[in-house]
Amino acid sequence: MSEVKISAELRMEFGKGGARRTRRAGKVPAVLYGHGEKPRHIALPARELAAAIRHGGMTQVFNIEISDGSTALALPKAIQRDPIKDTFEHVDLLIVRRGERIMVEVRVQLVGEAAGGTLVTHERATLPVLADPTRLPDRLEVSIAGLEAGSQVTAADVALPSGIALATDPGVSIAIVHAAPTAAQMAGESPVDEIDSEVIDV
Amino acid sequence: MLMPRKPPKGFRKPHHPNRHGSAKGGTKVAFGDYGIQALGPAYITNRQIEAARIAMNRHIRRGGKVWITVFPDQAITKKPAETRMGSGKGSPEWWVVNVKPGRILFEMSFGNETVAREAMRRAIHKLPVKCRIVKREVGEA
Repeated sequence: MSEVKISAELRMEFGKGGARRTRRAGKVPAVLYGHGEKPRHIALPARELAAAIRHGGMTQVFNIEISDGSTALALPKAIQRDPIKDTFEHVDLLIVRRGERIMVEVRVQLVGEAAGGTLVTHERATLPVLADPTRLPDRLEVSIAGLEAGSQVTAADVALPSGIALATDPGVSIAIVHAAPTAAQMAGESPVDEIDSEVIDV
Repeated sequence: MLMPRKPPKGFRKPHHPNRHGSAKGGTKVAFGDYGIQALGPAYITNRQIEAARIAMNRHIRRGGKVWITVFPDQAITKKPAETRMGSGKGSPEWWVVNVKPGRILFEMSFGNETVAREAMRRAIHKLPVKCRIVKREVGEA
């Protein structure tokens, strides 16, 4: 995936007051660390960051130009979001280097439709892979087209691009295809049977 | 209906749980394809959860799966009508879950998105809080 160039300012004020002022100015507070370097507190432009993450997810590599003149190649490690507004509250960025192999969780997308009368449960949304940070895919696709009830998709079924290796057990389940529940099964699916109200009044 | 098997020891008649702040966890769709997300704070009773579940299941009829991602483990007490003040706290009357904004309440897997959204819309009508339907994003766990 291509790198995204993004400019950053060094943050001079910290704590919730400083962080809120940064957010009000249309920026996202972030911290940059890794490879034994001292953590640097920076602020990233919110719109550019959101657009890049929406497109590339957690495998988007950023080429950060910091206001002190230095540059860094980084990968988002953790993102804190507002649960209602879905805006970024804070981002942790991990410094990476070209040519090194890192372990990253890449999103897995199920493609196609399973056979009729089945229900697909997506067991694992991401897979850990070993790859060069500049050649990370934004997602891995695995086909479930025509799969019958009782079949299973494992990590071994995922077609990996060249230069990328799986960093987990190939037998790890990604999706399971079940027979769809019938109307009778769904109607009688009450989690706990009705209990006499006297139980409450002990 | 959902309720603890036996009232938790020492928490049979608790104070009302606090209603401030937003959800710290359970804000992403984890099991199904769609979810119902609360947009405000509320005490949701086990009866309301059950009514919402039935509304959803009756609409999709078959071929789907519904997850309830909250559990009403908090007892709320009430003193009987026309009782003088004093003589202790009232008896437990409801089992509720203290929902904060952003919490996913239900999740659903169903092939047809239009039918799934209509089922969830019907379920939202049974809940005492403003909610929205959210869809699982690729790679969201």
